[in-house]
Amino acid sequence: MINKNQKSITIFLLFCLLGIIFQTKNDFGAVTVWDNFYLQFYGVSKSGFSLYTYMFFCIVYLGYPFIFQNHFFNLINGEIYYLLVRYKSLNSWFKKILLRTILNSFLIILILFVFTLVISVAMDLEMKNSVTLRENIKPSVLIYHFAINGFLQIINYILILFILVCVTKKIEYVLLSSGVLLILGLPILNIYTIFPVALNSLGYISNDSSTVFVKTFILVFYIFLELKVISYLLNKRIFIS
Amino acid sequence: MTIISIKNVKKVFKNIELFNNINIDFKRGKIYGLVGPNGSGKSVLFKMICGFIKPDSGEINIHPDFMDIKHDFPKSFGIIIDRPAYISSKTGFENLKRLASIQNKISEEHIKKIMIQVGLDWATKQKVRNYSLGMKQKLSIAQAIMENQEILILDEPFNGLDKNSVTTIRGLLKELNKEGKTIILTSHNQEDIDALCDVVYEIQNLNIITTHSDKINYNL
Repeated sequence: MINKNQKSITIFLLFCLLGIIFQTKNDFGAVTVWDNFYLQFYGVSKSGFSLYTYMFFCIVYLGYPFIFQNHFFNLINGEIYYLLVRYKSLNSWFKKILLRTILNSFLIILILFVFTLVISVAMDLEMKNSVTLRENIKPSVLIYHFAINGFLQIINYILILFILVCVTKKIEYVLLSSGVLLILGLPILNIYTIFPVALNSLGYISNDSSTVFVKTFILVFYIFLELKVISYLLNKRIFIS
Repeated sequence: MTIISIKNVKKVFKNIELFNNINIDFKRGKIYGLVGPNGSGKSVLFKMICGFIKPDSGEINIHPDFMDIKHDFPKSFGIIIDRPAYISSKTGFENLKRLASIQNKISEEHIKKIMIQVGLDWATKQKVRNYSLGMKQKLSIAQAIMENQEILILDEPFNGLDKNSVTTIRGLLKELNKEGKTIILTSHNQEDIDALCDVVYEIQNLNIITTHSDKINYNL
């Protein structure tokens, strides 16, 4: 039986699929499959962004964290006590949530990858091993940035929203926070790319693809930091009082 | 044997002082009633006993048989605390199965048996969102007892129950107590308290006093 959460994830994935089909159909000059990847998940770059591309990027990468935050909000305002008394430890409960979230995020990245690949091939794009729109980007670097940094970015969003739900316990603030994350991702605000938002934009590797590993480092650093904050919040029982 | 010992506990909750140096011991195998006006801190006391919130000072000790040092919450505690214990888009049986899957100690057959015991139809396809208040309450009771929990912490377990259901649940709690379970409950209905409780504590002026320790027979 499909629960409400799975239903939301399915609808979200359908949106992504439609977006990918729609963007691939519009001729933005993609020649190869990897060109299409580059265009689909361009997001932002240091030199700027297009509103349409960035909105699609935000739907893709903030979509699941948004579903997660609603689910988590309902949980802490509902059956939380009955779960905790059975898990007996906050760490076991949190680990369970985290593992499920990691698995879902991984699956979402995988599905997006397969979707884009299949749709690109179906629309007659070449399976050539190059990004013709940016000759300096190797497809392997593009895939790394899309998959690894994309995954780490989703985990970052989820952990940030987890912290905000714990601290504010008000859905209005949490919804507002999603908007703040969206705005913080704009290159004008994240000039030095030090905030863990939209760092997986393929636009960031347009000029210097060697920065992908720096982005990985930043995202991993923030994940550790967020986990430290969560550990403190769990220990203080802030989210259940 | 003392299973829960509350010593010199002080608690301010949401800027309201609720307890000032309270001391109580709960012994194994008894039924305790906790009474007090709305907002006096009954639910907060239950949450502190379960480890969900911490006292500002003082300590709450749970007997080592029920508290593992590496855990944050006591074991074998069945609880009903001021929140719904269910997901409204699922059936009652699905909800219980989901909670039971965490510890994986009981079978589906056992869940069905417990649902029948509290007066619920396990086979119904009715979602919990369409349950009456009384049915939801029975579901809460079912989750609190289904894993053969030794200590039951029940906040208003009779809320929303009709007369017959009250009699059934009272009987069930008496039965569980006979098997050695310890029960701590709150109720705004004095009859429930009188019929079930060996010891009654009342929250008064930030403190807790014993009001009586007699049980009245209401033909259970």
